[in-house]
Amino acid sequence: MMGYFSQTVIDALSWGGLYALAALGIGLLYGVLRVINFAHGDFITVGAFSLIVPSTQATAQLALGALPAPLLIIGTLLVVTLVALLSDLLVFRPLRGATPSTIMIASFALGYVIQNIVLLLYSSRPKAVDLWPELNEAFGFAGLRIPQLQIWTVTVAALLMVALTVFLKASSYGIEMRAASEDLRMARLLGVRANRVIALAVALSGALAGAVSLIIATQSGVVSYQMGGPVMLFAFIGTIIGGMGSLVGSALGGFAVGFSSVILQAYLPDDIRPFRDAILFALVILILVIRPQGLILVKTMRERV
Amino acid sequence: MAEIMLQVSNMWVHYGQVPAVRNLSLEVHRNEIVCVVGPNGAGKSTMLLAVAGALTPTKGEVRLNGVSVVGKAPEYIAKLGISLIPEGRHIFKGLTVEENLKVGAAANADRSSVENNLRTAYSVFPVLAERRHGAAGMLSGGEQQQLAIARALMSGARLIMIDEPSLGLAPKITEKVFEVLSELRRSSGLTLLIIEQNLKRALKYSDRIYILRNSEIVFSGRSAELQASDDLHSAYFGLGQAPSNVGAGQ
Ligand SMILES: Nc1ncnc2c1ncn2[C@@H]1O[C@H](COP(=O)(O)OP(=O)(O)OP(=O)(O)O)[C@@H](O)[C@H]1O
Ligand SMILES: [Mg+2]
Repeated sequence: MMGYFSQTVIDALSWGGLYALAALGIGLLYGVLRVINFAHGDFITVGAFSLIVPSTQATAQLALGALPAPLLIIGTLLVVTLVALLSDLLVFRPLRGATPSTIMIASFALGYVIQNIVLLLYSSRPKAVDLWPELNEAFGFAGLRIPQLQIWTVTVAALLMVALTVFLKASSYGIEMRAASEDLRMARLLGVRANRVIALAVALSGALAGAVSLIIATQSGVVSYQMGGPVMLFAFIGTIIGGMGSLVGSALGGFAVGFSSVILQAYLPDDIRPFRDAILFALVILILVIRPQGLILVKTMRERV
Repeated sequence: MAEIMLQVSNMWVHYGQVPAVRNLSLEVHRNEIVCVVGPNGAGKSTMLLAVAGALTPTKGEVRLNGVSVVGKAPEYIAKLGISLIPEGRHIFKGLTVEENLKVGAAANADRSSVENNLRTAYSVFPVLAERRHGAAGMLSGGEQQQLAIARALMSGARLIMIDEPSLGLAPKITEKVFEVLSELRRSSGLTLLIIEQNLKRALKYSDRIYILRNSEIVFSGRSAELQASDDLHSAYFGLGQAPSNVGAGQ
């Protein structure tokens, strides 16, 4: 019983970490654009598909996935970052000054276009990708059997969050980005270049999406052109309950959603388990009714011009 | 008269179809303190935002040291040695005091001067040095105003535009802020364009004033000559006709 509990907690930690990364990617862009980028899930899909060679055949040939681990990781992050930057250039930048709802709808459209490009290149068939099978071997510790991959997931998520924090706190680009997230107009009046700071946020958001791609592809061993959707949905909810506009809030919100979904899955009575997501969403609605500003209070939310 | 740093000629600014600034002309010379006074909704803030590039004038010309900046992005204009402290100060509350100052250096091409400017800022405003690692949102109103001024100076700007520095401050603190600004003008050769609601205070600290009413400049003149002018009061309070000596008072 104790073992089941501990293993559930580790499982919950790893899903929490995963959704925290995805929510951070959404939160970073929300900070500077004041828009939820609904294409974020499709950025994640792109990263996963970059592992395999474009083809409509059932069995996948590894592309980036065939490279040694360090190159594979860098390559995947790079591909998603480039796709994100291209999206900024072609979609978000021309819409600078448009209303947030216009940009949000454009992000939906962007996601749809990306999905269809993936569909064209790879077909709608889900494909098996066996990246690092040895990671699925369990690791024995204090009587527990923990799949190594979960330890990796938690570690990678934690490291990325530490790295992002250091960047945001200690580098001048990071400080300018936080200033721009709080008050873009004021930052621009002080000489912060809007296009550059937004591109930087987009690039970081893309790199985070790439990390999520790798984790999901390794964990599930399957890629499909709609795989980004559910992640996007959960991460989006995480950003909302975390209080949009706060990065700490996004990370915690994403973590909370991932963590509680695993705990609910494990401990809900069998009859109710199929309704897990409904229960989760009901909890979210309840939170929003009690605290519409999110669980984490954002220090400043200003009207922007 | 010293050279002209800022020249605004026949500027119009609209919100949608509605003009908020009409045919406005104004100039600021090197090392001057110029105050713009006027009732609520006159268009004072709109004017400054348009000069700084946060709004785009629909017509007219804005020149900074002879260079036209109409239609340029605010981050570009900020690099030309002008800095706007907008209404409400807009301190980055989630950043520390020092981080606010560092963002202020974004327009500074000379990154090596940043450390120097930080030191200068802390010597002019010792309270900021004490609170340097504290959250800027925790500062009092007067301290936030000091931070806003220090942040504007970090870019090495020679012309600072301040929208209502007295907003939300006790009169005693406001006087202190104006004293600091006067001192900065004397000691560092700064040029200042200040919006102030209080006519008496504007006359006390400025070399020249402009009165803006209903989107238009209705009066301008040298502060020293204006202390007791009836024209001035009628222009400010909008009694009777606008006075005849409208134009750049030299
Ligand atoms: N964002 C906006 N959209 C539409 N109209 C605006 C906007 N900002 C200001 N206005 C209008 O433009 C006019 C000028 O406003 P502005 O803020 O420039 O006046 P002000 O002289 O600075 O007033 P105050 O003393 O209250 O600060 C007002 O009628 C105001 O209602
Ligand atoms: Mg105003």
